[in-house]
Amino acid sequence: MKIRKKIVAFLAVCLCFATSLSLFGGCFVKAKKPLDEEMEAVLKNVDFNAGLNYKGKLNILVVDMQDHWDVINAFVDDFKQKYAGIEVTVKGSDSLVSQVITDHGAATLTGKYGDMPDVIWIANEDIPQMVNADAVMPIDYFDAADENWDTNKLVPAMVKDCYFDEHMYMMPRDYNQIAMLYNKKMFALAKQEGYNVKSPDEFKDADGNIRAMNREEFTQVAKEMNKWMLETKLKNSNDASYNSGSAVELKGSWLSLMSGIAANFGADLIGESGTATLTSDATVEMFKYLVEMVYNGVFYANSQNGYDKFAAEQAAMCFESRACLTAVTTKNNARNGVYADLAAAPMPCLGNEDNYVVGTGCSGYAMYRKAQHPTEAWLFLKNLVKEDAQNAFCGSGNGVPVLSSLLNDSEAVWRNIKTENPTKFGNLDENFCHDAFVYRTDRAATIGLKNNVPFKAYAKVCQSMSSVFLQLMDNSVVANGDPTSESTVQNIKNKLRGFRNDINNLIKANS
Amino acid sequence: MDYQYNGVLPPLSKERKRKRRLRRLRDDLKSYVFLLPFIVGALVFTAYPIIMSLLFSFSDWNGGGATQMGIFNYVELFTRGATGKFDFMIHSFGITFLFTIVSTVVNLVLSYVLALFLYNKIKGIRIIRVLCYLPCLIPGLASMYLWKDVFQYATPSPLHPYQGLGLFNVWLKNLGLPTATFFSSASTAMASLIISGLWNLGGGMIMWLAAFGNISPEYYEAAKIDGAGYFRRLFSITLPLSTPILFYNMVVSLIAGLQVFGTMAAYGVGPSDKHGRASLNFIAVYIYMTAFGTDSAQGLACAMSWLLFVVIGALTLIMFKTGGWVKYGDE
Repeated sequence: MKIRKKIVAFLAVCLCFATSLSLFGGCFVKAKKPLDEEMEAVLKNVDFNAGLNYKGKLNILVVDMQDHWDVINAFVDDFKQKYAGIEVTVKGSDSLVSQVITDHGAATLTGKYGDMPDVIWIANEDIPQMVNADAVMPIDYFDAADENWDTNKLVPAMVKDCYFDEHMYMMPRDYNQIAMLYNKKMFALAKQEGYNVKSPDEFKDADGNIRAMNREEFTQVAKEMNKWMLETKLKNSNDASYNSGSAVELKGSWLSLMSGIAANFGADLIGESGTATLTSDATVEMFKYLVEMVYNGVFYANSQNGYDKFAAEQAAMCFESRACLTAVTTKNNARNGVYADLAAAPMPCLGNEDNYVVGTGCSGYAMYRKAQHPTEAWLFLKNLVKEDAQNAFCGSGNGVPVLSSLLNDSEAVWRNIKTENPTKFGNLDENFCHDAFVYRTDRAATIGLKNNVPFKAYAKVCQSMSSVFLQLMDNSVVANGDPTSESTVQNIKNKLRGFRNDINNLIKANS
Repeated sequence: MDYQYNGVLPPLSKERKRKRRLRRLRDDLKSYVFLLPFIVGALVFTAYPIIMSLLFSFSDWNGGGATQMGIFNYVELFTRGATGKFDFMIHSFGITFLFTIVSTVVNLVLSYVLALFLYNKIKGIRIIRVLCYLPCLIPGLASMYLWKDVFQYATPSPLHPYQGLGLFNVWLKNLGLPTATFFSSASTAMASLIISGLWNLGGGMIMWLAAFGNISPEYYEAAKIDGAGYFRRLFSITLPLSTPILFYNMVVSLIAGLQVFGTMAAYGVGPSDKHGRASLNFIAVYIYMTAFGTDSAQGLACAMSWLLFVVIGALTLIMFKTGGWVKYGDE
């Protein structure tokens, strides 16, 4: 009798569970609609003929950092001047991507999207994660449906960079080609003290324009600069000694920078066959160079922010793209606000000159998948790339425009920022080399991994690849204090082999 | 009335039964009204999420929706190779068990010994007890960042020999000893975590002191009369009568240890070994990364959580079934 009761109770629990599963299946499980069908329904609610007198609301979410606020305020001010009837609200978030994904999940469960933003700031590395969570809108459908607009005025490489899994998920707002920022005061001081160090602006081409240094020239400059920093008794404007820094600061986890350097050496991180090729001779050669420079203190590989040392006058050079100028020039506890002494030069060629590649990328704004105001969102995204909006954005100092016509326009705001925004940049050097940010655009390349890595594995492979660079540049591979010894090279090869296997497993698991 | 029936109560009529039931229901309702906030809270914030997580574990829920249902998540958990999660899970469970067992044993033993030392009536003993307990007052995350800083390690370069070294490594270097990798190497990260956990011995010490206080002094007096020495009294009286607290501590430490997650905030998943396996990727951390990482595989993470629940439940059951060594009261 007791056993029979237990069996009945067990069967009752199983039945309840099966019923719950069915109910759940009915309520929450929905077969994925074909994208075309879904977008057809979305586009029906968009007014592609909306004019300047359109009335509505727009909610925007950006990263809660000063340079992001400077940029969005410039865009929004320009937008409001044209579309005065659209009420714009901007909010900031410390952890934007995870917040959007989490809130999107909650909104989907409740079916209420009113509190979600319409437009979200996004970087190209974040797109796969957002797309996996169905949180962003493929705006190529909007592009196709809007007869009055297309992307052909934008830098083609940046438009291509906004595509993932055959759809465009982001409107690019800038063209971020990496250049080299340097502190001209430190170079001047080194020369005054008799060190044989050439300033980056002394390397010129046949036409008298500043050119990129080759590997030997750059290495010579960096080593000589480092020597001065170690030996000088002078102190920086914060009364700190120069000798606790390094000549060059680079952000080791920044894949746009590191993949560009790898390409310089002729190293393909992921081959065309879709497998990691980290143990190639070219890759080993690259890491030999980087490890030696880091071990000898000439390079400082930062795993966090890429220019803390440079901004605190503890590094003479760093690699950055224009999108961060506010962060470099702003004075705070950690930074002296290098800006009167700020200068720029083209990204040096750290590998072979024939393989010269400059890393580039973009960030931009995406439309939320369930945007409640798609018309306003589309109007905003289109406006981002209009000439006056691009000039307004560049006036904040945080970008090079993505509109092709403005890149080489000598009257464009981004090239005249000293006079266009004297409050913030009045003290910028008159001869600041803006051309460094558009140097050899024919050699600019975005992260190449996207072409050879399955879409699902892309974000994880990028993370793993960043770890490869960081872990190989932390001196742990150096054997017996000699970064050029055979043992060190063997350590590099062993580590690369391990990483290669891990990344290939990642690719296989997500194919 | 009863005496008329020789102590046997007459059977109640149906009407009287109904009235009694209604009266009881009315009294119960008053209680339920007061319990309502807790009941609603428990249903909304505990029962509902638990049931939903079980249901999500049978779907491909990614935070935004689900498109299919089935047991594929559980199949993936037990699939080996690159396409499955079995190898990663075994690794995560392995390091979680290792951490739980070692840290529980070390903490219990050391806090017991500390309590024995401090269970003395000497001048100033209270101040010493307070000093031992003080580190427990520091919030967990703050203390983790503190230890991370103190144990910091960087491979020295000839030009900057002290760059990146924490306090302990600076001391070691100044004493002419080799520096230690602590949290920077997969082989030492776990040991460093366990050592930094000794900071909280004071919490266990307080509990043992309370346990010792509950042991009747008559046992010790009787033992002294019989000529029992310190260690005889320790192993024959103190230890056996501490077993209830010991058992409680073991069960609670097992459950808490298998769910360790706070380390992620300060130490992340830790450095990887030569096979690419992160040394501090505990099972709860792995579940979190699965749910909120690039994949947003929340359905899979729910399946992992239920597996963890089954494991913890099974281990707890085993501990209770084998708890015959616990001495309660006058046994």
